[in-house]
Amino acid sequence: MAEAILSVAGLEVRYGALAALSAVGLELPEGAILAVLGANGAGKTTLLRALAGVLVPARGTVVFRGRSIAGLPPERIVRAGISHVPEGRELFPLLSVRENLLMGAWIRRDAAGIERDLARLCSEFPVLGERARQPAGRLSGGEQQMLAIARALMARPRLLLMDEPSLGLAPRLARELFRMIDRRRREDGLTVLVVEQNARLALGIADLACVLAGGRVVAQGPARSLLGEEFIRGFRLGDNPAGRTQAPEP
Amino acid sequence: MIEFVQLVLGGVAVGCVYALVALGIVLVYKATETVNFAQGELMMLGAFLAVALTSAGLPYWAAFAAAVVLMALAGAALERVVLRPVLGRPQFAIVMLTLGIGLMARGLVAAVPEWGAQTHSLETPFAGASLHAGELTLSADHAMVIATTAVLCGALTLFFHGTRLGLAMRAASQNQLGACYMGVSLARLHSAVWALSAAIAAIAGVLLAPITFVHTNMGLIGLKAFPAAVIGGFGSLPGALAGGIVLGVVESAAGFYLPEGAKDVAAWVVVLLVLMLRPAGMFADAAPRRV
Ligand SMILES: Nc1ncnc2c1ncn2[C@@H]1O[C@H](COP(=O)(O)OP(=O)(O)OP(=O)(O)O)[C@@H](O)[C@H]1O
Ligand SMILES: [Mg+2]
Repeated sequence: MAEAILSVAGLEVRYGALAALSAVGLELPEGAILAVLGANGAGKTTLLRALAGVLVPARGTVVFRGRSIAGLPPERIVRAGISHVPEGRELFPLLSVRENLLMGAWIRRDAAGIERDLARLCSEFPVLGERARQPAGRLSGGEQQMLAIARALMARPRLLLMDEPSLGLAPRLARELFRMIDRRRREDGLTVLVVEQNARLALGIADLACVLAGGRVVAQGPARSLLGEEFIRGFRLGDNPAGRTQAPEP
Repeated sequence: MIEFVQLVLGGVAVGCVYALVALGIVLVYKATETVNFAQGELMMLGAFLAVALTSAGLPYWAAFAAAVVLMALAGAALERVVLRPVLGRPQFAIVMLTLGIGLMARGLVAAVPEWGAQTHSLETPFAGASLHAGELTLSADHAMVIATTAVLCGALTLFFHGTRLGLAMRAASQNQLGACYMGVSLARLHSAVWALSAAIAAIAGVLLAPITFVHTNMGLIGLKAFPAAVIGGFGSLPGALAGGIVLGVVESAAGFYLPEGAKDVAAWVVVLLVLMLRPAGMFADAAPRRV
């Protein structure tokens, strides 16, 4: 595979006295999809927040496309080419769907390209096109999730960070979404780091996977090798409390 | 009847000034979650600047424009130098800081030899003129306030709904973290909001100057702008506008029909009524768009 677009080494992130991540290391080749798995509280969201610049690592290095980005503020990280679909979506509820998408393109100045990307996303997510003028807050949970992903793509990122994108999506929509992500990877060379509770879904399209537990990487390797492994099944059935699996769409 | 319409017109004009000051307060509050108690003093500074510039020989309109631009720069500087360093401190500390800024502004103006002690008047090209429609009379000063406020509201609507920066301000006022994830630099956005708010304050000051004269205590108008903002729901720009105008009209009617002193109480009576009857403000159920 291509050389690493993102390499993380010795990453430590703390919330006060609590080390939510310790000694985390990752290598993500360009154009690959990495699934990060782990139980509740394992540190998955913390990892994404640190990569997106919202949390400042206490220790460790993060190199993205040859540049050190550890400790940079979020606006610099977006400009470097990393977009984040955060936990909780963080949409602008009173802005229209279209305005939310335009905000996604904040770092860009190419008006024509922005319109092209809007049209493309609205054909990939027809519901967003239909509801372009409605406030984002009026969309259903699943639609909001799609809007959050589409908004992140509007920045034309090289690396997309997604925190549990299938949460709140009906299984069929979740599969569709993952197919769309896979297509972006093949057509645009997008690199993806996706956190998922639904391990089977994520491992289905991921090339690589890593498992976090207690803020440490406890397993890492090609997705297919992890797919069959016993502990994945154990993790899914054992550590995944009811209610955090896919909620049906409202 | 004519008398009443006349009263309402005068009230609307004064209310527009309350509304503009309230608008500045709400803008900053929505974008930065800071309640700026110095907004009235920013207005006072704008008025003094205009007076200074006209007495230096600048024509009214040029002095008006220059005062607005200078106050916008001062607003951005205030954010950069004073408020940004205290970002994230407890709310009451920041509120105290804005109160301090207001007091300092008054002290500063009072210390300028030519400025502090007296009241000043701002020369306008339309001084003494008035508009007539039948038996109704509207002084040009009042007409100027109403017309400028209307134009400014139109311009602000275009800005918030038709420009990149305006869209980002609305977005950040709904979700700061979300705006951060989009690559918006909140620090620079806050500077822009303070600049806009101070520019609006300067406009209010220049509009009010021919009506009440210019003096160091002008900024006390903030005491009317806060109730105006609260009446409008504290967080809604159209609400602040409507709140200011309602307040101006109620005050001018109270001043005419009720005994001495009622005028100054009227604002607070309206606030109490609104808070009791519609705790979220007049515009509580207004359309989802709030900016
Ligand atoms: N803001 C915070 N302050 C203090 N501790 C936090 C904070 N956010 C998370 N934590 C703690 O850090 C650890 C990792 O949390 P994180 O949210 O990264 O887990 P996660 O793997 O994303 O879990 P989930 O599957 O529930 O989303 C947990 O023990 C959590 O309680
Ligand atoms: Mg999480």
